[in-house]
Amino acid sequence: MSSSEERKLILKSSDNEEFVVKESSAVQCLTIKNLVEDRCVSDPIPLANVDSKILALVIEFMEKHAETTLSNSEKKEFDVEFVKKPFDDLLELILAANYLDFRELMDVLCNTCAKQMENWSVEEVREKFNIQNDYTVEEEKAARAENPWAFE
Amino acid sequence: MMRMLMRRSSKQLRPRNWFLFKQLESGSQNLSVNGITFFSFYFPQIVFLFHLIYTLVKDYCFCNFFSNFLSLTKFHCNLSVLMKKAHKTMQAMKLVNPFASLSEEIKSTILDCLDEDSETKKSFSLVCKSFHSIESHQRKTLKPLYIELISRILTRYPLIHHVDLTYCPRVEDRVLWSISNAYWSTLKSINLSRSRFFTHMGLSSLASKCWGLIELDLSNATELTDAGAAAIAEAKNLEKLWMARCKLVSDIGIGCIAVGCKKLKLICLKWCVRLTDLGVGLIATKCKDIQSLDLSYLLITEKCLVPILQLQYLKELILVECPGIDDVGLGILKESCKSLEVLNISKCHNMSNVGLFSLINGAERLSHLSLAYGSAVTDDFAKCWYKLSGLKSIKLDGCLVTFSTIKAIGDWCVSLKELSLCKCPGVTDEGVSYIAQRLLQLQKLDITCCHKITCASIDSITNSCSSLTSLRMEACCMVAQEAIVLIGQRCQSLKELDITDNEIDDEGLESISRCTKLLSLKMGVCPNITDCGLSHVAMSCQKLIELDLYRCISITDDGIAAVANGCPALESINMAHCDKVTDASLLSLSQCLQLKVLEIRGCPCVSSVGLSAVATNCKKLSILDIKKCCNIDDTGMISLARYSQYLKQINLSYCPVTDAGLVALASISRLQNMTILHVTGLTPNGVVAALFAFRGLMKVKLHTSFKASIPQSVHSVMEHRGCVFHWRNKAFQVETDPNGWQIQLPRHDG
Repeated sequence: MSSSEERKLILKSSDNEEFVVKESSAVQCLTIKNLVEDRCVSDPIPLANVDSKILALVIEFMEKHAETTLSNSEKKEFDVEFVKKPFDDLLELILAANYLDFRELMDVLCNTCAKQMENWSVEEVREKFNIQNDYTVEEEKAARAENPWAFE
Repeated sequence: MMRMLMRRSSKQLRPRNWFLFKQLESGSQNLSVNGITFFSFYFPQIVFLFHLIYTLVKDYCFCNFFSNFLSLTKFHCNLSVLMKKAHKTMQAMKLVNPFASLSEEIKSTILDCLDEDSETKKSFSLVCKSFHSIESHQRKTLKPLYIELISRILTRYPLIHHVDLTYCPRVEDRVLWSISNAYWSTLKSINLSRSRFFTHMGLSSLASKCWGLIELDLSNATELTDAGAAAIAEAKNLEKLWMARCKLVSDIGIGCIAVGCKKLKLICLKWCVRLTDLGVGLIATKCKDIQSLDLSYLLITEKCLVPILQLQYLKELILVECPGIDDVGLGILKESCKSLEVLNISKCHNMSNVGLFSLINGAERLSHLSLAYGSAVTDDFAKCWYKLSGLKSIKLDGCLVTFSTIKAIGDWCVSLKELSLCKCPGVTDEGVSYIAQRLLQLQKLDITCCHKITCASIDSITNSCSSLTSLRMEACCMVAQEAIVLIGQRCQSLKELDITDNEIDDEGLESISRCTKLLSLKMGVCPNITDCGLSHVAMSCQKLIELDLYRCISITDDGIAAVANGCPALESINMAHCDKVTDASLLSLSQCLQLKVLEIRGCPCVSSVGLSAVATNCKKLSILDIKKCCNIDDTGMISLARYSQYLKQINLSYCPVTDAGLVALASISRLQNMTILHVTGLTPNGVVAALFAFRGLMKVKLHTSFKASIPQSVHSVMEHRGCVFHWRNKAFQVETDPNGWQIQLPRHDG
């Protein structure tokens, strides 16, 4: 790296909005890191699976975690505030984090999802995720009788 | 085709073109996958082949290469159009069903974050068929409650790594056979430490079929013979083996294991009393990777120590109460093991410091040494402590420690972090002060029952040892209450404090409440502390997990309420013989949702109402002691039966429970341990009916008067199930606890 300035990358969301980020933060996403290392970077990098709202959030997280001056507990505090979002947003963030291969964000989000789901009953899970019950009555009876209480 | 997909997206999809749907569903995660999507519109079969090749070479980063290749070709512009269309389809699906757009992998990752034994996973699996299948493939640990239902569980969960059979007292060979058939490729560890009735044939099928088996816990297999040991030897990749109390295994059996399981790293042979130097020597000679060796209570001599000390990777050697190892024999040892870090020679009465130093000659990495209740520590020893200057932890419980020993420790072992002088009669203020001023890194100090210690020692300890995290000073009866105040003022990183049977009052407690990191506080037999002092602790020590108020007779409901409000993480509380405590306390304690251990024996004002409140809310309750609670009756038992599904151990001696209450308890599937002495409401018929109803019971303590009235057929049925009777002949005691001051801490069978 010859330049004394920070190298910047331009990321383009699916709705054609462009975001400028520092390369050092962006390479936390392994997908972007691989593109950069293989020198296949076309300016701007199109990320067609991530819309602008989500991409803005991802970049916010990315930059916070790339800052070396912050301590781990400060980053954790930021994470706690960051995940206070509606559930649908969290799911979209998970998809984006998976697509960008951003391990840290994935871990934080998956843990949050799991915590939110804790102690939900069957009906609650169906309602909150808007999932249709595709068991027939007999099948459901059989499934419940399969003794989930028979083991830990 | 796109239109077809859009139409379908409005209902829960069961796609015919599974492959195409999969690609879209996974959200076009990689550019290379998008390339495939493009092709898939025209050439499904070719695409399938392509995908197969792609999956096969994924690890070699071909996907990246491929993605770059694609992006550079002219397909790129077409691709972006298609990607947009795929994205729109996904959006349409998401509106209906956001969770469905997550791939199976992601759902699995989320499930991973849930606790292993959480009820949530089970709810999750009942939601719909795809969730059921995800959960079935994600689960890695299995702990069955009823062995009869295991065949259905085996078919449902194909990828189990760890099987824990500690809830199943009766495990027969056919069960082991079906487990080995189902998990031959995935099983890594199995725990049979509380199960009986299997033989070498079942073990053989496990060991030979499950090639990935690395951990096997066969402790308490008292009927296991050499044939069983030979069967274990078929597990070629075994690394950790526990065989405590396998009394029938002899040198021949251990020899087979030594030859067969070459990769063994840990082996526990506690109480395998038929073993001699020959067998143990074979293990040491053949299993070169051993890191941890437990030979406690064996009749071995120094002859087997020769090959043991030559093991290159040995880190931990435990030789508790080995009477055959003595100084004379140890004199022949030339050099010790350079990698040894942990050595435990407690209760070795024939070993003095001479023998000890032959044993550890050259063990430069030794960091943990336990000489408890042994004969090694004498004044001569004091001259040799310079050889042990690297030690981090020393246990001298019950040893005749004098000032010269303590002085030597203080002079030489400067990096000591943990020191235990529990029940050492010779410990004085002079010694403790000397040590405290020199061992500045000390974190854990145990001076239980050091009766000569006074305030001066506590003063020096608290002054110098600023990083102290654990202090145990039970029964240091000469310590005045001023000392306790000093602890609170100066040792604020304390996590564990035991001041049972000490002079302490509310002023002392107020000072202790400054230790906000406290996790465990034991204040048994402190009759001068009241609710006022307790509330100080409750308000500041919010991380408190364990609280022991045994016989703190001035504590009332207000104090307990303060604790319940202030310490939400509370898991264990002992209020035995606190006779002013009533149902109101239990009502407050029902807020502590993490509560696992509740001891309220000898509390006459507590009734079923309070117990029901705790049972309803504290779902994790697992150990309950309500002995002599003369107002808890069948109603309480029925609440427990209904809500406390995790209850493992219960003591209801002297309670006015009748047959009906006892039978109600039988519906608790995890109940393993029950004590029912002098329960006057029980009749022999009732007891028999209840015993039949229990399915997982492993241990029952009954009064000998019942023995004759229980028919032999019942005895044999219970034995067949794996339940053991313990007969007690204690006379009926009118007083709540005649041996007042003796602290009886419960044993928690894991």
